[in-house]
Amino acid sequence: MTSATRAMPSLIEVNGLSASYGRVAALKPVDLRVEEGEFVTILGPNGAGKTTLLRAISRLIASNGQIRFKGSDITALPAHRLAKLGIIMVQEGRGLFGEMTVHENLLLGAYGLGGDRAQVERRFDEVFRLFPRLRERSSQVAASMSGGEQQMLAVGRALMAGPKLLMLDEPSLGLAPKVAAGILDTLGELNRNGLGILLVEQKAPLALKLARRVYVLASGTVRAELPAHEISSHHDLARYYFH
Amino acid sequence: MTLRAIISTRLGRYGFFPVAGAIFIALLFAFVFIKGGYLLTVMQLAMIYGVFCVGLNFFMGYTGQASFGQNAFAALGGYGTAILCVQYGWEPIAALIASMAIAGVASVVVGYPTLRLRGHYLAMATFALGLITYDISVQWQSVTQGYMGYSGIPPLGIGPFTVEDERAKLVCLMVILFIGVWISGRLRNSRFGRALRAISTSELGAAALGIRISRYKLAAFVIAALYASAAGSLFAHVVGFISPEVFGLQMVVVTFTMLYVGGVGTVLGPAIGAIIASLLPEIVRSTGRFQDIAYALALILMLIYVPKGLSGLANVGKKPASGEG
Repeated sequence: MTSATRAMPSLIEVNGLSASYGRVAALKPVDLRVEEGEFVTILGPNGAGKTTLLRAISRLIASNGQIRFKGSDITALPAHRLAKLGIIMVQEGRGLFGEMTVHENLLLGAYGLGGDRAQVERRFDEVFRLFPRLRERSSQVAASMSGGEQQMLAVGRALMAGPKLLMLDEPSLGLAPKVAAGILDTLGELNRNGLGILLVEQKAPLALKLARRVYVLASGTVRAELPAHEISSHHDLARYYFH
Repeated sequence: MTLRAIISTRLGRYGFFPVAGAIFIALLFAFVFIKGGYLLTVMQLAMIYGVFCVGLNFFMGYTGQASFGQNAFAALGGYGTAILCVQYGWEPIAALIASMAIAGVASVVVGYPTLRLRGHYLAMATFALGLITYDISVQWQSVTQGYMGYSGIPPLGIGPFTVEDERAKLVCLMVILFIGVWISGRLRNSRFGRALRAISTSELGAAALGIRISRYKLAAFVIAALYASAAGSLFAHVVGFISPEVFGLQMVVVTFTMLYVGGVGTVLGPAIGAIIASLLPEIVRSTGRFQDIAYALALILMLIYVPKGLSGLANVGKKPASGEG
């Protein structure tokens, strides 16, 4: 089903998106969509093109193909304009500004709000409600925090921007299982409140608990698109990876 | 409260090195004021270089870009103010401001295409800018008077009030440097400054948050050019003479040294670096024919043992808070 046949346009719809690093095609033409308030997960092995896909959608790398956001063609927009539309990405490795404090990192998340202090304060309250630890660490330099706290900060910073679509690239990477589960629980809560989420994850069991739909990516192409509940085990996934 | 109690309180609040550094610099200025003579000139030049470095820090420190060509804008400031004052009889302050405006426009024109480059390519392009400006200042004799340069440039002043006393000049330059540092500190911790620092850490990360990278880089480049132009103009008014050599390659090397000795990316570092790197040659002068070796050795030791610059000493002894989990 395409957005043309649905009543509401998709939150984001990607058609024939491809990208390459030099002569190496990291992403062959890919189609993908996320509906309003939907939680979609992209699974795939190392080198499948998952990070490239998120970066291409965020316009952080050059790509071909079409990207539509709520029905509008945003293919030609630069990265900073996408952020202002509400398409926010939490990068692999968190992408924090390590020498800045937690407070400064969060303020940078709210960069698009300009001088609207009241709105910034409301966002701070919301982020601190979700991650009370960040309030305690507010004046601490980001690089000196633990991995879990850094991931909380990365998600918190993204939330400061007031995202409509939140894209996360392996947020559980390098975290203890309990900490990773806590982060994903928070994502689940955000999704229940209506936030569209596109999650790239290698830890399939964690991601499948929350996702409604799953794209399986391997060798730069979408191998399968199916409801999350249809993937029951790692064995199933391997079948798609090596298809 | 006794002096001892005050020092004890400050030590507890700011740590040993910042307090010791502040006391050292205060004593240094007191000594220079009392002694006068050649040291006054050294400190005047340190203040002027300080203004230049504070500006350069916007582009190289806060934004993390490389520029080897800011001397071009100092030359614009110096020659602009010299020509306007000597040939057209402008007031020094008006000439300084006009030269800054010219340098600002020139930096936009030059920076817009140049800042599309990154890393080494940007460094080479800006280096070429400095070399071209030097060549113009030598060859365009009808305007710059070539190697002869300009002399008889009036001292700083407004209307009938001119700053001619050497101590008064130093005070005036200290105030200007203080204002420059204050503006730098305010901007560093503003929305604008945070965006610059974000670019310095990760251009992709900054763009992903909605920061328009090219615009901010250009803004930092222009600010650096404005400071450089002001420094060039101040040099002309304080020394009273300029020639192409003043704004040559030596200026690039000296200001880089100052920036890294003081602490690139910090608020106070450029000013501290300008003072220390200006004084260092005077300190090692007693080693006679070994003074160049002693100077280089002192710089190398500083860069090895204080890699974040002298302003980084402020954090020595402070325990970083650590997270858990």
